[in-house]
Amino acid sequence: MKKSVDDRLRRLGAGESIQSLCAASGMSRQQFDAWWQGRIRSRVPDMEASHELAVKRPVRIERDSWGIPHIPAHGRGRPGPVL
Amino acid sequence: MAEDDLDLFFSYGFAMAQDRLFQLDYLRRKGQGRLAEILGPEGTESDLLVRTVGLPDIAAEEESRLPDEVAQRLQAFSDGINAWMDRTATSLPIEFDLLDYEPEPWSPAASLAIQVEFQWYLTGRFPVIVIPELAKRRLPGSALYRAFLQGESDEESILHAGDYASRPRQSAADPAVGPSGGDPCEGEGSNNWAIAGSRTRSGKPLLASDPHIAFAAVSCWYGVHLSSPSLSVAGTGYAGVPAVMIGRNPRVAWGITNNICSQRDLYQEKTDPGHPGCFLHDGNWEPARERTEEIEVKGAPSLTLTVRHSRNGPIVDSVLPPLAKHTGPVSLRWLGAEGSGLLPALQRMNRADSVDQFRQALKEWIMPTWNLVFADVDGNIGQQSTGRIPIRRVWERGYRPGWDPAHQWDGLIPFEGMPALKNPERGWIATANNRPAPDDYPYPLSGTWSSGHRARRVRQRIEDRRDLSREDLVGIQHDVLSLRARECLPHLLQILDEHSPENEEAVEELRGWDGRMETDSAGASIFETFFTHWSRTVACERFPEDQAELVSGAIGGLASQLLREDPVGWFEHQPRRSAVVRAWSAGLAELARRMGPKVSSWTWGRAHRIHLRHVLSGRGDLGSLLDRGGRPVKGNGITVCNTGYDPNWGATMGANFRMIADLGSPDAGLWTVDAQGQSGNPGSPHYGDQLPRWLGARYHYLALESRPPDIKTQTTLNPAGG
Repeated sequence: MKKSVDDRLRRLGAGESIQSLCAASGMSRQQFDAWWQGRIRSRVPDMEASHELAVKRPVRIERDSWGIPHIPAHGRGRPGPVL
Repeated sequence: MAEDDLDLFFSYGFAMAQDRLFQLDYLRRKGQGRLAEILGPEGTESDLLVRTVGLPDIAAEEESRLPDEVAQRLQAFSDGINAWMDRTATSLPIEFDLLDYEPEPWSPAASLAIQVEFQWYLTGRFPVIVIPELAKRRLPGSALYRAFLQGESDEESILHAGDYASRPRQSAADPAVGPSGGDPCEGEGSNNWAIAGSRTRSGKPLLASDPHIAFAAVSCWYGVHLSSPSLSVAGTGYAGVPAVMIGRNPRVAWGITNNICSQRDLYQEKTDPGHPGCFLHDGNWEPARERTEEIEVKGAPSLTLTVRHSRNGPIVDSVLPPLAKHTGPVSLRWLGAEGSGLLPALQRMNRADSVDQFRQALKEWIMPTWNLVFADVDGNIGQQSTGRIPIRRVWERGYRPGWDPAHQWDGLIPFEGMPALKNPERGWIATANNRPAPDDYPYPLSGTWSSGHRARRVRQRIEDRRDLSREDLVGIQHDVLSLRARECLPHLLQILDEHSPENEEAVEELRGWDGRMETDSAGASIFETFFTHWSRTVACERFPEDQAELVSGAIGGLASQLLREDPVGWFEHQPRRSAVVRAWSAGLAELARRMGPKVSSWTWGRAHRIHLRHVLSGRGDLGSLLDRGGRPVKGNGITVCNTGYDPNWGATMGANFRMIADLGSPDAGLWTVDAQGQSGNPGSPHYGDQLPRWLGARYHYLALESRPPDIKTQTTLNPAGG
C-alpha cells in the first residue's frame, strides 16, 4: 500500500523554497524548522527494538557511541575467534 | 555455509539499511543508470554515462561469476536489507518523501551495481586520457609534449631499486613504466603505510590508511564490526558492498590506496561511408554491434539511447568531456567489463590469518587496481598491487588507433608480476598513488600517478624516527607541509625579488611562510592562489583558452619546473619571468577581490572550508536542511592531510576516513574517524557527528573484542516463530 506523503515534503523536494512553502502553509520560519525537525526525527529507526525475522538464531546489533554496529552472530555456546 | 555466517550477513544488511536506506537506493540507481527516474532531467547525465559504458550489464555478469559462498552471503545481506525495508515501509527516510517514491526490493545485483560503479569511479576517469590527447594534438611528437607529460616528484616510487629483479629495456619502443604524466584527479587519491616493529615503540607493526573521496553529508564508508565463529573483523566498507575494505581482524590489518595504473584505453575508431555500420580493424571492416537503452526521466519523456560497439568496446565519445568530442567515434576498452573478483577477494582478506594468507586472498582480483599494505601480529608487513594491468606493446598516453592490432592488449600482468613487497629491510612501506616502481620494472605499469609529494612526505616523517607510536601516525596523517611549495618558493621569490612586483607585504608574507597549509596561514592562500594562476598561465601559453582550464589541473610537474627553468622553450609568446609576475599579480587581485585588501587577513581557513553536501543539496533549499560542515580545514590536494580543492577553494574531497591499527597494543581494535558520520538519516544524532572529531584529529576506538566496551543500544533479531 502506498503511503500518504506530506505534500509539503514533496514540494520541498521539487525545489520549492522554504519561504514560499511557509507563505503557502501559513507557517513562520520557526514553525517550519520545528516541523522539519519533527519530520526527520520521526524517521530515525528505534535501535532498541526487537524484530522477528528470518534468522536461525538470535542476533544482537549492538551500536557504540558513534552508532557503529557490532554484530556478534554466535550460536548458543559457540565462542568467536580468540583475541 | 555456516548458519551463523548467513545470520551475520543478514544482520549486516539489516543494520546498514537502518542507517543508510536512501543512500543505498541512490547508489544502486546510480550504478544502474536510473537516477533520472527519481531526479528528473538532472539525473540524465550520470545515467547516460553509466548506460553508455554498460555498467548494469557488467554488474549482472559479475553476479554470475561469484563463488557460491560469496553469493550466499550476498543473498543473506540483501535479505537483511529487504527485511528492514519491509519494517520501515510506512516511515522511510525523509528523502523518499522529498522525491515522492518508494524503493524497490534489494537484490544481490543491486549491491554489485554499486560495486561496479565504484570501480568505474576509481578507474574510468576520462580526463586522464583526454588531456594528454589534447596535448598530443597541440604539441605533436615534440619535446614540448614530453615536457607536458612530466610528473611531479615522479622518482618517489613505492618499490625501490633492489626491491625487485629489474629488466633492462630492449629498445626505445620497449614499453616502460613511463612518466607519471600529472593526474588531473590529484585529490582523488589515498595514503597508506605499514611500519615494521623495528621502527615502532612497541616492537610490533603499525598501519595507517586514509582514502580520499568526495566529502558528503553521508559517508560513502560504513563502519562495522562483524563477529561469528569463523569471522571477526572490524573497519569500514563501501556502502552497499558487504565486506570490510579497510580494517583488521585479530591477526592482520590492512589499508588501501588507488593504484592508478591504467585499466582502460580509449581508441579512435575509423569509419567509412562505403562501409556503413562498420569499424576498421587490421585492414578489415568489421560490423558494429548495437544495443538500445531506455532511460526513464521523471517529469519528461523517456530517452532512447543506442550504443554502438566496436571490437574494443562501447563508443563513448558522446560522454567524454566536451572538449574531447567531435573527433569521430571513440571506443572504450575497460578491464572492468571483463570481470572484477573484488567482493570474493575482500571477503577472503577479512578472514586472513597472516600476511602470506592475505596476499593469497588477492590472487583472483582483477578490478580495480589498488595498493594494499598489510601487517600481522607476528611482525610481518607487506604490500601488493592488486588487480591486473593490461600489457601494452606500444607506449601511448592519448587515444590509440582502434584499427591497429599493435595497440591491442597483449594479455594481463600476472599476479606474480604485480608490484609487491614483504618485510623490506628499511622497515616500512608507504603508498600514496605514486608510481609503484622505477622504469626498469619488468612489466609496463601504464600509470598516470599522482605527484610523489605525499609519498615523499610520509617517507620523511617515517624515516625521521625509529620509535614510532600510534600518536605519531596521527601526526603524519595530519601533516600539512606542501613539498610543492617548499620546492617552488625559492624560485618564485627569486623572480619576484628581481622584478619589484606589486604588494611587497604579500611577498614578505610568502617569504616568512613555512610551506604548511594551516588554516591561519596567509602565505598558504597566497601560494595556492598564485600556483593556480601560474598553472593556468602555463596552459594558456600552448593551449586555446577553452582547453586551458581543463589542462591546467594536470600540469603541476611542468608548472613547477617552469618556475626554475624552461629547457624546452615552453614560453614563446612572453618571457617566462614576466609571465610569473603576471600570474602573481592575478593571484593577488583574486585574493583582494575575495577577501579584501588586508594581506594578513587572507588566511587559508577563510578560503578553504569543508562542505558536507547531500546528494539533493542542489534542489531548492534542501542544501540548507541537509548539508553539514562549512568549517575551515587545513591541508590541500597534495598534502598528506588531504583536503583537496575546487575552483572556489572549497575542500570538496580528501581523506574522508582515517584509520590506524596498532598490532602491538593490548587493545585489539582500531582507531578510526570518519569526516561524516555513521547514519544517513538527517534526524539521527550520528548524522555528520564525527566531523568535529575529524577536524580535531581525534579518533575513536572501534573494538574488535567479542564484548565491545562502549555499547549504547541493542537491536535484537529473533528467529520468526521462535
